[in-house]
Parts: sequence; structure tokens; C-alpha cells
Amino acid sequence: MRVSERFAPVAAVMSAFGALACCLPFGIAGAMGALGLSVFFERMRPWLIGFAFVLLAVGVFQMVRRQKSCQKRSRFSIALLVFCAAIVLSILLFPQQVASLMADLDLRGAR
Amino acid sequence: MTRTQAVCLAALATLVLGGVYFTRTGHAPAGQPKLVELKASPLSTLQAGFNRESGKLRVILLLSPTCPTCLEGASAVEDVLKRHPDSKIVVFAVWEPMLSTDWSKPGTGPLQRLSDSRVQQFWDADHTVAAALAVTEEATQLHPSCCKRRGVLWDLIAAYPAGAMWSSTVPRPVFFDGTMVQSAAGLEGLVNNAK
Repeated sequence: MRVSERFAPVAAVMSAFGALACCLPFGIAGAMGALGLSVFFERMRPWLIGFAFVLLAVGVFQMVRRQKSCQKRSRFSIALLVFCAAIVLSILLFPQQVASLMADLDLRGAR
Repeated sequence: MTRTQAVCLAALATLVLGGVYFTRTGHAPAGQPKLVELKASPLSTLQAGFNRESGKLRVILLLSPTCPTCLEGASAVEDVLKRHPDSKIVVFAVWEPMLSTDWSKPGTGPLQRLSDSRVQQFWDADHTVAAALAVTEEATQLHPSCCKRRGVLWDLIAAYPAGAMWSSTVPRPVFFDGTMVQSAAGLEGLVNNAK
């Protein structure tokens, strides 16, 4: 198999992800990632929560601004934005309730 | 305003109002005194309460209201108390801000995890109790294998026998370990003997 033949499917996958990233606000995925990491990296938690908040704002900005190549706002993007915003705000506004939920789920080590 | 914007605005308003509702000062469970803020009333409030109950086994817990492991530990201690309803014991649960999410006093949810009437709950914003326990920890060479964050003790159980008095320093504990969820089993033997 030639190098170009090996490269083609990988490039196709990458371009597919690229297209998705264009239409899907990357800030939302980043916010979720930062928030998820904050559960396990206790020392960096304040920074990661702040980072999640900034990325969420970027996600909202992307959604509102709309990129040229994504003429239509997909319902999936809006649903994802609302879902992620709800999680980030819940942790910021109701940390005790979230911690209680985690304790009941027995997520040891998340401290 | 579009329909989507209105829905988003309503959701945000609900979250903010819910946050205000849930983060107001929590109600201590029935049968317990109100949550005491050690910032408003000095450490001597806890010291006086500790000495007043000198005929009983006394236990000090250090917890954070948004630490899931601490909340599990609180429930574990509550289970021990439930299994020994006749034991002569007083538990001083001291909540302190340890994590970046600990920006408010413990609400009703965390307080209800310790619902036994033999529990008294405190909010120690300045870590005064942790500092007092740390002095004893140094003096008595009791070093638990856990439970310090940035030099402040937390997620810890300290138990004191009947007769021990808190004078200028906290007395030597008979049990000093954490995390609470892991040490609750060790506490149970003491609670069982305190009848």
C-alpha cells in the first residue's frame, strides 16, 4: 500500500472532524472537557472551572455569530449548548448539590 | 426577542433563583442547635461546648461542604451514630471552606447528612478549629496519613475520651485519622464502648 493510500482514509476522517468542528462550537466541547478534568485535578480546579466558563462563552459567541460555512444552526448544537451550559452553571451555582449527588454515586477520589 | 432567547433567559433566571434558594444558610436537622458560625462567635463557643460535655466521648469532624468524599464520610459517621443510639457521645461537625467551590456556608443538604440529635454543627470560615487541632497534632506527634491541604487539616475524625478538657490547647485525642469515610469503622469501637 502506498503512503498516499494509507493517508487518504486518515485525511478523510480528519476532514470529517474538521467539518464537524466548523458547525459544532468547539468551545462547548472544550468547556465540558475542562469541567470534567476539574473533578480529578483538584489543584487546578479553580483554573479549569474558569476555563470552562470562558470556553462556554466562546461557544455561545460562535453559536450566535454563525459561521459562513454553517448557514443553519443545527438543533443538535443548540441542545448541546443548553445541556453544557446547564452543567457548568449547576456546578458554579449549586456545588453542594452536585457534590451530594457525586457522594451518593460513590465517586471516591473526586475531592 | 426570539422564542429561543426567551427560553434561554428563563432557564438562566431559574438557575440563578434556584442557586440563591439552595445556597442560603442551611437549616440544622430537628433536635440540633442552629448552625453556629465561628467567625461571628469566637472559638470559645466550641471550646465551652466541648468542656460542658466532658462526661461523654466527644468527636470533632472537619469537613468541606462540596467535597463528595467528606459528604460520604458524614453519612458514614451518621450510620455509626444510628447503630449506637444509647452511646454517650457528642459530635462537633465543623464545616470549613477547603475547595474553590466552597463559597458558601453548608446548606440544608450537607447539614442533613448528620441528622442525629447528638451532633452540633459549625461553620469555620477561618479554619480556627483546624489550626487548634494542628497544634495538638504537632505537640503529640499524631500525624494521620492523610487529611491536609495547603497545611489545613480536613476530612478528619478526632475523638476525645470522657474527662479530657480543652484548656489552652486541645487535649490529646484517642483517635485521630481520616479520611472520614475510611475511618468511620475505627470510630465505631469507641462509640460502642461509650455507653
